[in-house]
Amino acid sequence: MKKILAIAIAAMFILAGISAVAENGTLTLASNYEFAPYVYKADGEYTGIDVAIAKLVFGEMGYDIQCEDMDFGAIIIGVQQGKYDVGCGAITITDERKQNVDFSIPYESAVQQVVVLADSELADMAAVRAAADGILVGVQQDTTGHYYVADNLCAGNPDNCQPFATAADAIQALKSGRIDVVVVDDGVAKEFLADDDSLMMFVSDCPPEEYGFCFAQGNPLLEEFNAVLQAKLDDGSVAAIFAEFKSDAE
Amino acid sequence: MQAWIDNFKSEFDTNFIQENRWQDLLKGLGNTLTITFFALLIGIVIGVIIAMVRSTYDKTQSNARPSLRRKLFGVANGLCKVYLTVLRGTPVVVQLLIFFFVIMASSRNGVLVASIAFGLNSGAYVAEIIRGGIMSIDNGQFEAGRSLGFNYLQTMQHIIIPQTVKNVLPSLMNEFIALLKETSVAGYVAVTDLTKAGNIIRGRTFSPFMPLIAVALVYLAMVMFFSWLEGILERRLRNSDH
Repeated sequence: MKKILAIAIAAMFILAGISAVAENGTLTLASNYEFAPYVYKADGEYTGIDVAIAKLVFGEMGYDIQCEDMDFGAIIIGVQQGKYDVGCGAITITDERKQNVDFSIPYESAVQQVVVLADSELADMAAVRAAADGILVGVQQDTTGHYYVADNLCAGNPDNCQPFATAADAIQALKSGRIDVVVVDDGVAKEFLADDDSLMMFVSDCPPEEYGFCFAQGNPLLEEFNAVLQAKLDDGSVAAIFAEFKSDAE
Repeated sequence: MQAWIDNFKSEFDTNFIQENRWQDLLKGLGNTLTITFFALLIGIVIGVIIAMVRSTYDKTQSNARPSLRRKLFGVANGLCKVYLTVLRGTPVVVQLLIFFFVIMASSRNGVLVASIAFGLNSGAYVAEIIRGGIMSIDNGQFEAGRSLGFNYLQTMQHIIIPQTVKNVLPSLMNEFIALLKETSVAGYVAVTDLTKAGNIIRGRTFSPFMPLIAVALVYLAMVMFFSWLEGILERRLRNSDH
């Protein structure tokens, strides 16, 4: 009996040792995987532009990626607290966020799009501005679109800003007529419009933004990550990823 | 220690004072209370109706004559049972999402949808609490009423219900407290309740401690306040015990 126990304990230590070795080579990639084409789930696998870039760059650096799915608002706090190694998913680089995490060099620039029903009277940004105090605006909670709507577009009547957990929820609410417009990043807006002619979109007057990967402040991996990402941006392999996923959507 | 106090002060300032963020919490609290209040009203109305149907059907089972009325009553009882099964058998978040995205898809008032969804859900639990209260009264009480010449409704009104109220009050209070806290999932459907207001602050300030603890303390304070009220009410009702 004692022997069996000793063997069991030894086996446990060995297994723990093995898994610890594997752990060294794996980084957790935190995101809200409902933001196609940047991050999403297809056939049970996490995929998208950001996931592909992360796999490419970290692969070259000798790391495996393990995706962790959560609300968008939990990504930056989680990375900051060290729960996850890297955060991604069309995260706009902002000064506020920079105070809490370090960002990689940008890999994509984006604007905020306004999505409306195809037959909506709110057919351009001027019309949305003019009606801003009386319309309900859907956003994904904690995104830059949310902040733009809360602080700028709906500043006169903050209750009109309706934060949803995912962009898809906001689009569904728009289609059922519950809200009047949705403000969302353009890559995602295009994805929603690609297979749906009941919707249309136009560019909002929110200033353009840039996306980056975020790391805990002072993470030593960042420098190497930036160097490799820059090389991949230069040699066109990132562009190839964009082409692959964006053509997928159309 | 000084550093800790300074840090606490600046955290407090960022999370509640800057950009008048405390007002968002206050508004969220308002929504939480509105939803809870209307859900409670709907829940009690539905609960009482279902409890009446269910317990009357059960109590009159033994001496009922087969008739069309009895059959219709049976159907009503069956419907109530289905309602209880469905509403108690599915999570309230799922029901809320179904109400928001499917049943009341065109309503633009999220607070209203949440009130109705939570109210219908709560009604199922209230119904079983009240039915339990009615059924727990000894049958002798009922027979005594009938032998004094009261009919079924009069017996209920003068003898059974007054005793039931006293019995079910603690359980009802339990359900009310659970309901108050359950409304914290209203954020799923873009309703800015107390929890969501705290979450939005957390998303903007990136400091989880203050908003979460503040939200927890507000819920705790509300529950303690309502428990205190219930204590007073219970003592009042007990005064009539001889």
